[in-house]
Amino acid sequence: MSPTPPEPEQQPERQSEQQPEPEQQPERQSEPEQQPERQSEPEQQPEQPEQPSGPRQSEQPSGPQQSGRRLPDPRQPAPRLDEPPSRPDPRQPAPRPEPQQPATETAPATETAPATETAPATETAPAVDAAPPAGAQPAPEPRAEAPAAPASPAPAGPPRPPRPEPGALQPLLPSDPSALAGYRLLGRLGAGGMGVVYLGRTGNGELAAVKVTHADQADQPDFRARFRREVEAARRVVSPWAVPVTGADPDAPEPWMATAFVPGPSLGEAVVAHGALPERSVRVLGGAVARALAAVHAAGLVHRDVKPGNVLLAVDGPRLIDFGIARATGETALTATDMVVGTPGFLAPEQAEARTDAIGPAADVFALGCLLAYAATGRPPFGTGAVDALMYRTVHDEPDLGGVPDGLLALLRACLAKDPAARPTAEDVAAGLVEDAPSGGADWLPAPVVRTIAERSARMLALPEIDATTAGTTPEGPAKPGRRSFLLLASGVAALAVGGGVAAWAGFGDDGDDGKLGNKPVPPRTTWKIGVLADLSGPAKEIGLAQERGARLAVERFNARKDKPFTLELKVADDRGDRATALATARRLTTDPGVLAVLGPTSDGVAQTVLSAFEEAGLPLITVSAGYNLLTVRDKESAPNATVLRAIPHHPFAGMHLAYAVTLLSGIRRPGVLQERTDDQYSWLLVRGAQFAFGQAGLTPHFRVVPASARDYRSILGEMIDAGMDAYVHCGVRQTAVLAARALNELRFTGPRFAGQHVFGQAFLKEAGADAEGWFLGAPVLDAVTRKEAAGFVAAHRKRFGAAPAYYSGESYDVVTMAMAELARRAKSGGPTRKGLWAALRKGKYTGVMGGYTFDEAGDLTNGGTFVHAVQNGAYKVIGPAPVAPANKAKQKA
Amino acid sequence: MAYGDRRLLRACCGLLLGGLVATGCSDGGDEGKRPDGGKGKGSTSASAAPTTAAPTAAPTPTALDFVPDPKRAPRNEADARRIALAVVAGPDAWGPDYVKRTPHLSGPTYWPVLGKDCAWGTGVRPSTVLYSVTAYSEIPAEGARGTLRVAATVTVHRSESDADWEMAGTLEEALRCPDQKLRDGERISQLISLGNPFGVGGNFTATDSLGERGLYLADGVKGDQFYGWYQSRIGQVTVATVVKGAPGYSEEETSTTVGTVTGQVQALVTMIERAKDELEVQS
Repeated sequence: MSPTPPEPEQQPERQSEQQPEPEQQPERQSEPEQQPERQSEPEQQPEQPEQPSGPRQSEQPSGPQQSGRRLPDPRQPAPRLDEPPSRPDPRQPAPRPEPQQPATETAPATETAPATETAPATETAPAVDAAPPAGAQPAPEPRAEAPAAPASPAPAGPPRPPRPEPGALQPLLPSDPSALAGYRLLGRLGAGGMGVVYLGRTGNGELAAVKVTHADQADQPDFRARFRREVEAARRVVSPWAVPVTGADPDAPEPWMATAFVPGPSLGEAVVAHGALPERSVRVLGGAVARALAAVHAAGLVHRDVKPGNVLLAVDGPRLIDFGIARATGETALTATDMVVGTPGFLAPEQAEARTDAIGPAADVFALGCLLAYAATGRPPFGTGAVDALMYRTVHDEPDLGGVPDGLLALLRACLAKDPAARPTAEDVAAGLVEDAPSGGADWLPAPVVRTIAERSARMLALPEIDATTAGTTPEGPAKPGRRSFLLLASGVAALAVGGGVAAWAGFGDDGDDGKLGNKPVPPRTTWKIGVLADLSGPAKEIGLAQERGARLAVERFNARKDKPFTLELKVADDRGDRATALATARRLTTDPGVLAVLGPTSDGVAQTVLSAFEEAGLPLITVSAGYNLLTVRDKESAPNATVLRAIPHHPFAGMHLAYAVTLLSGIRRPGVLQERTDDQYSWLLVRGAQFAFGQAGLTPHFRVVPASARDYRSILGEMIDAGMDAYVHCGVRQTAVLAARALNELRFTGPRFAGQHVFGQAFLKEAGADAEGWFLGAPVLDAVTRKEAAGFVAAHRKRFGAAPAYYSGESYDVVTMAMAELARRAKSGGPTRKGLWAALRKGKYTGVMGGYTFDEAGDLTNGGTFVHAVQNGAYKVIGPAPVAPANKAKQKA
Repeated sequence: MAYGDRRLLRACCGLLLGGLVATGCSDGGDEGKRPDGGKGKGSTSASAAPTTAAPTAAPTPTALDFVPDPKRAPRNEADARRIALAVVAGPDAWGPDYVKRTPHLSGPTYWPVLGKDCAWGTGVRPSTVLYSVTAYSEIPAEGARGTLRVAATVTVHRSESDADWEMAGTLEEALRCPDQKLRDGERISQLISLGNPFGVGGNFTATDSLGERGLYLADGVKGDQFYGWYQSRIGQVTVATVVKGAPGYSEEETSTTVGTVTGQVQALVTMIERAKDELEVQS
């Protein structure tokens, strides 16, 4: 292969074959570090007054390219160069100079007069102007959890019980550090022989429980290695009912580990204060803790310290904490901080006898049995008293289950079998309580306990803006925020930080008249919902979970608004990416009249399956990842789409954008385009878009189509290289892109490599390893972390979920926020309605934290929307928006 | 068996037209393809290179009602020839108006190849193909209607993988050469092809299927006609039907034209069912 030397003004594209260096290509990217926006929408910035409109320069990264940011972007089509400096709204397309659409839509498909579908001209418009007018602050700061927590919490106010309330915040001691590993320490949550647990706050404002091990403990042999292993294992524990580990350093002088902070009281505290729980609460508790334990066991851990103090109660369900970390082998829980003082009766016989080798998952099940008996009766089943007597009874006596509801007796007896092998597994216990999964609402606990949670939450967080939030009313409810609704809301808001369920809470604020604490909260009159249909447990769960989180944050933020006209819940349905069951799953949303709009689905196949259900229900379906074109595009005989709104380019456009990105590299003359048939719809649509775009650019690609079963990419690609391929475009799925990446390196191919949406993701980096280096991936999303406009969203996400947002979260947050804003705008006295929502959204213009969104007649995103990411050092680095016209052609014209 | 199942037929029909039409590709045209009613294609140019995937590779079909009997799998040219001739659709499979053309069957070595210049020429049958035959039929011209030429092709491959590669190769042809010269005076253009593996796009009849549509332009025939090539794979056998449009015909029937797609699908499904009968375990 003999690459054509790069043209002078289009610089080192060819270098990028090996090491894409965007910094070396200033003219290709005016703002390398500043993330591209879908479009700038300065005049549409809703609420950002308090944002100082500083000079634009302040937003610019320092760097040599800075001066170039107002230069025309060579990736933009020629017409742009003629645009006046203050350019018109990119979404108001000028007449397009040439067709940019691939002919894959409904209209006739001649290459000379390609189907100019619905969105034609918009594609010509610059999708991405990274430089809005000075002073523009693109997006409001989302504050998902509404009020920011104070810099330091108020010390616990009310009269103290004689012993410190476990879980309650105690002031730091003079000997305590004020900060640790990036956490500002706010107080003590507990202390024991092993160390101290602090309440900490990260720079992002998220609260964490930071458990620090005393140095002398840490110096025991093997401690650190074991600690490290267990932290790694704990990070694999994935359960909504287990508190996640958010940070750890086994090598610190005093090793520490941080987990998300749950403000609720522990089970022990709740029982001490309010007595035994009703059967229903115990069943919900048991189901959730059993599920958490099942996840712990699946991660290869044994908790070894399941006790009332290690189960925290949140509004939407219990949380198991402290799973199996930094607990010395053979050490019992006796040395740890005990929640229920003087009642170490939660050990299995094998633990009580310190038969270390016999301690396995079954020990946790025994402890769970003790815990549930305690919750149901208020007494540990082996009594209290001297430790040795307690141990003896545990090993030799039958448990005291007097007062346990009949419905739970058999299950608890089984859990409390002396022989570990005779006990059910945690999975079994969960299955036995399967109908009692927490519903996400707060109705699983008796009102007095709820009140305690609320008080605790309010006290702990001392949220200064809580009154303002409370004042928010729903349309149908008079604003009578009594003390009760204050507390409930406080708790709900606090729960945002960790557990969710706020929508239910906010709703309860409405019944606000007297609200006797002994009564169950009355459900709100009408429950409006935003639905999420996502693959949360199937092949695309990485994407689906990200979308759910984005939506959840958006809804919670909406509910936290002072002026919200109504409260929304989030209703989530997991389609598992399974077409066989997708329709039934979708109907859970489409048949619920309270659901106003749905985010989803994640994947093309499910989208095709469920489309009819949404159409029948007239329920808007907004997707940020399903690119199958026919979800929106219809032939002339069919009724036009009025259901799906797609906030990403469909696959043919994505293929087109990808090919135009290739044309940025002016040395490229003979791109090789491979269609592999694993997901034939996707690859074909991509290839058709690319075919059209390369045609526009005057390039004749070398096409290959290979079966899904093809594995010998070395021969296939070797032949393409021999045929003169100087750039590679993979129209196929990730698994085969990995094979191609390896083969290209083995073949010492030096040209750039490109792939699309279904390759993009962390899995490609992991699976292709070093072979992924230098690939360019066109994806319909951006990394929120790199966007200044999304800083508030990112912080809120970290606070809420303990992690930075994954790809697709920000876009999900945006479109859900967009839909809710429209619902609020259109809400009449009768409340919000799904009717007319799609049409209003389709016509609207929305600017969110990830950029701007406008839609064509069919409901497809206009203005590009494909972003090129380069793989550098094992990570994605965004290069910029893919062009929406052939770069070389633009240049020829110019 | 045969093509008796109307549901199947409808599904298949929807697949063929629906797939391409809906996907929007067609519009402009219908499709066309290789010389004379096409033929299994050999390798397009050089390298549709069958990999040496073991013949064991039986990747896709999860739910297709087809259980091949290894004992009945054709292993040599004689086996393949017998099967191909038993499967290939004659005029009866197309419909009552169709008759044989002369010659009705292609010669035993017939193997057209799409050259680098996007013109079809004669080639040598690759060793991975055990046998291939094309049967030509037509509806003779009558009144305002021209002669409607159709053909059916059966290609028996050495292995399922080889057949899989032929399907990919066919898709590749339309990408590489959207405009093709069938022979002097006969062209097809604006070709678009779309594959539908089992379970995708409504294909529940075959292991894999594809449709290729475009325009058919022939000297002496007025205007742009439609062209449609539909191909399915059952195990190691591919079957295909092609229609080259003529005045007075259209793919789907209208008030002024006679529809061709029903006959085309009928012929295709007939061959699919016959191929299954030849390859399946006999009960």
